[in-house]
Amino acid sequence: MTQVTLSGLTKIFDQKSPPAVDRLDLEIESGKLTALLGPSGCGKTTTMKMIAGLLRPTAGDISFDGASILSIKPEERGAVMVFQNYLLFPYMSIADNIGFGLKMRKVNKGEIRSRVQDMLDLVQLPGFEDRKPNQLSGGQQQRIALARALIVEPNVLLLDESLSNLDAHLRDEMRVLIRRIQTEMGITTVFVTHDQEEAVVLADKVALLFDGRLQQFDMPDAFYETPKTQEIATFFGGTNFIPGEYQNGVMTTGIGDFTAPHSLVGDGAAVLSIRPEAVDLGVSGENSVSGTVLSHVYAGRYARFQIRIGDVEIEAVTEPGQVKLFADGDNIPVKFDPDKIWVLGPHAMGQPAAADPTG
Amino acid sequence: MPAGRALGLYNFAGKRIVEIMILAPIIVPGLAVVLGIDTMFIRYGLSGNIIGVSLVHLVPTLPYMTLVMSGVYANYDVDYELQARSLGAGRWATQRYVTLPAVFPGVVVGALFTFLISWSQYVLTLLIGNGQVETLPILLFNFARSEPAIAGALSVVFVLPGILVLLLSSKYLSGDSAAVGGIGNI
Repeated sequence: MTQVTLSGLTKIFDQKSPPAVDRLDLEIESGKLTALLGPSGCGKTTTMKMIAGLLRPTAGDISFDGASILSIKPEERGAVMVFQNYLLFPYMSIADNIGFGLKMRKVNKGEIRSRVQDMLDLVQLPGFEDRKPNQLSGGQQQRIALARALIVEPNVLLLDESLSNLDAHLRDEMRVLIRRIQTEMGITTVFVTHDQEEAVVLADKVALLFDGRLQQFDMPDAFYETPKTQEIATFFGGTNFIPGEYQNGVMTTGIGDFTAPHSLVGDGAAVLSIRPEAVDLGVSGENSVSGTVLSHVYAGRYARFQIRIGDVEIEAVTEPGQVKLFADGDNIPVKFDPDKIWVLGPHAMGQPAAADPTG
Repeated sequence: MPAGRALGLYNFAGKRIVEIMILAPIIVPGLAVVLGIDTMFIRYGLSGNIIGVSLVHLVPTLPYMTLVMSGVYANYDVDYELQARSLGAGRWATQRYVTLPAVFPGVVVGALFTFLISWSQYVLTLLIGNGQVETLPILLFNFARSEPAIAGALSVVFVLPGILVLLLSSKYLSGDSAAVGGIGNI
């Protein structure tokens, strides 16, 4: 059980380009699974390598349970990293690969052998000890890489895009396996991914990074329900944005006024955000406006409508049966459920989010 | 070997210039090089003994070793070393258990090349060794004038290592034992 604290962590590779990781503050809870999420090149892997001790930070500090570990060598940190491309040592057998960490710790051979067996059972590949890495499939190599890291009982387990090289089916299996092992062993785990679904499914808490800067560090559902910026909302799947003016819990927009009790910002210029799934078609009453159906798609499990309201175009995702109720060109009432509206600051898209003072 | 690693793994300013400098001994005629070196060696007492001859043999062989190793490292993933460190291996253990096995075929091939080139050096040995350090080529040359029979026998001995090296290195170059990242491709 180890709590990892990053404070002001910065990495600059090249003075001419912006920092790869920029003043990152993060409190990674002991025994929990934390995801570092972001598009490629956002500094997630760099952050992970700094925690593992494989890269030296330009500035800032990393501490385990409150004690700085910057001066501790990577082999003594107990923070084991599993790389994206597995990196099983090709000239060693599977048993030697898994036992590598114990051999380095001068554990005797008998004990290594029995613990390797335990690990192979844990990752559900018993009987593989004498094979060579190139005889294994990608998914199997991934499990061996995981076993090789777990056998040394690390304080912190660092998984770098561990699942991105696997096909969808294997990925689901590995997610379950990782989650199970992590919960059983209670290892503080940091998981790097660019896939927001994976982060949400696996992690207890998600840290979203754009361009080396922390955007939001929250429970997974918060990224859908209470994102801090339009960028974050967009990264977590399509959302309708309607700009306007926010005053006393009411959002005044070009297409009408909407009651919106949930807001990130105070009175002033703001943006109303509502997920396509939260738009109700054919329902009138409070928070309802009139719109025209532009087009629709039937997708089996759901239906997708493009609706024009005044000069704004929005998207609505509904139950599949609704395609029978509305035809293209129909004028229908469109309702925004007040509880599902989230009011955001008026940052234009692509503009970096303001630094969060509470951070 | 470290020079090969630097050239194969990293891109840095002036890399081309360093490459050319390393290759220079192959491009410049050996005689021109050795005449300059000889005056220095005489001054430092390295002329006419085995140490001086060994040193001067580095001149034509180093470029080959460096080139072979840079080819090996070009196909090598340093992350293997980081992985080993992360799993608890110190610097030396990482070299021993990870780096060396991975580049070993390259080291063997480079060593064989080096041996062959050194084996067939005549001018360098003669000039720096002052005729006092007798290597096989020098012996062969001496006999070639007086005793053709012995010269013939010696030339068979002289050819043997070349054939052996060819057989050995073809095994390593075939890629069967290429450990990390297809060293057979160099």
